[in-house]
Amino acid sequence: MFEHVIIGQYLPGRSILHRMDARAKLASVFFLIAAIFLTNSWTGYAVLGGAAAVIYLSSGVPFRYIRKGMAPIFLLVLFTFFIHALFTREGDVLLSLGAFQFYEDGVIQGLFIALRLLLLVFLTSLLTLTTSPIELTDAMEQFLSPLNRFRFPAHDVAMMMSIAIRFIPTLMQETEKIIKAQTARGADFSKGSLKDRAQAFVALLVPLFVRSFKRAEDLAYAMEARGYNSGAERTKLRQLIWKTRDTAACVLIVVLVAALFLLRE
Amino acid sequence: MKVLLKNIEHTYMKKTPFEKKALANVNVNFEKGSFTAIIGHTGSGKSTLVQHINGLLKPHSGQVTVGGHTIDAKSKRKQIKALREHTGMVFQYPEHQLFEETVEKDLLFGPRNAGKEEARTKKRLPELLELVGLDKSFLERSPFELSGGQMRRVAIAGVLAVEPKVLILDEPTAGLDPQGQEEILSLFKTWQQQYQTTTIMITHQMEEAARLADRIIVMSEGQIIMEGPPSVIYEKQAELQTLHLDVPEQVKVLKQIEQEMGVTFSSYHLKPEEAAVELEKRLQQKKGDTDV
Repeated sequence: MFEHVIIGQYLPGRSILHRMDARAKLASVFFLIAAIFLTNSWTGYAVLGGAAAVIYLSSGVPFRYIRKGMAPIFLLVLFTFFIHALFTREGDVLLSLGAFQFYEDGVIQGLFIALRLLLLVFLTSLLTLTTSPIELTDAMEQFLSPLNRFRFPAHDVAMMMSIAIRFIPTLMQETEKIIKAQTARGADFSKGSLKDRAQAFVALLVPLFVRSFKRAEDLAYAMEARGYNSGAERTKLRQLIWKTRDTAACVLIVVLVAALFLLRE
Repeated sequence: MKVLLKNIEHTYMKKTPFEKKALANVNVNFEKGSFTAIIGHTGSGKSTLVQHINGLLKPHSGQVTVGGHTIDAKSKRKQIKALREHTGMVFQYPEHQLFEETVEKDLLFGPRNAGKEEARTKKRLPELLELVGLDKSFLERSPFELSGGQMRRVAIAGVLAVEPKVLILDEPTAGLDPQGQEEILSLFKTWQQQYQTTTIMITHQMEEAARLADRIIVMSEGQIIMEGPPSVIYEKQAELQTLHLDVPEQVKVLKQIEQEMGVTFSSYHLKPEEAAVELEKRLQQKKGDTDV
């Protein structure tokens, strides 16, 4: 049932991108996203596209995973393209179809927006495909920790994120189990009248909620029993290790972003 | 109802790095009214196998036949649904499937989905509850205010309410105390004998398998390794141990007595008192034989 869903979209592997420090990856993606939104020329997008292709090739991720990740936003991309192409009325008329007129500037703007969205999703999917969720939260915790000074509970937020991520597979297993149990009792989740299906979903959601609350309670007790205290200094089982190649990658990205900034028109 | 599985193959997470072959060319039959126990280690494919019998999983190749219904890799939803109406399945921790406001409503969920006449089913509910060891006052209670053991009984009654011709049990006693286990198991045995239900039970415990089943199937790595009546399976103690399975204590003790005293018992499932009586009889016989 859920066997084709990749949990957290993470795909284990040993590529260069997989072995990079999560902080370096997160920072790089951050800079690249900034660059995507700053770029406004064809040359700029060509350079960005090239960079994205190089990053993709170093990830060793089969293309169908990227395609699957991008499929849901494809409609959004088409939609935004047409909105821009139709409602920006500047430049020469390129094509006119009845009441609709496509202006040159509008089409260019539409293409830029579409490219931005595609690149954005492409790069962020590469990040989540090559970085385990736990590494990602650790990296985020470290980036957020300076905010501790302003009473922002960086550690608690990271803990909440890790717990949430940790329980995604459990919740999916649970969902699958209950779907199977109710299906075995004759419930039909995908066919039948609206009323039947609503009934089937009640039969799924009620047990799922009951179990989730129960589990949350158990987890809270277990944490308290072991003396969990959110303010305590804590060491980590998996340390993030920053290597020379991470510095190199970040420098490369910063140089690239600076170059793109200069290419702005 | 007779169940036939022919050349069943199933692979999880096909075409991903997580690909795993769960069943490889499995062939097995379950006769009408028989009680079969399937034992094997975690990941040996037991659960995958039984989920084919009520169409929760479709075989990637091969055929599943239950009564007059056959499904294979290309079967449509409608065919699967027809097959499913005859098979009941009790999962591990079945109490997790309860969801209605009252026990009565929950018990009626299965029969309603199967299109059974509600009035007739309703009349049978007190009897059904009694069978699982609860009384009819439970009908009006919320399933969520019951104890763990009571919830499990209600959930089991919910599966039996459909009156399945084939009953699949996936470790139905996991997490119960010994007395609760005993009660639940004898309930299934009674049900099987009363309704001639083809019963298939997955278990980790040889004891359970030994006491109830008339046939044991041992699985390992997606294949059936051994198959036969309990007494035949216990003969292969060494083989079982390589699979990290063990014959029941009781069988071991009786076998030891047989070896040392040179007698044979009529069965390995005798109660201690019965075994003692039988032993005495055999010893006397033996004595009589040597006297003559």
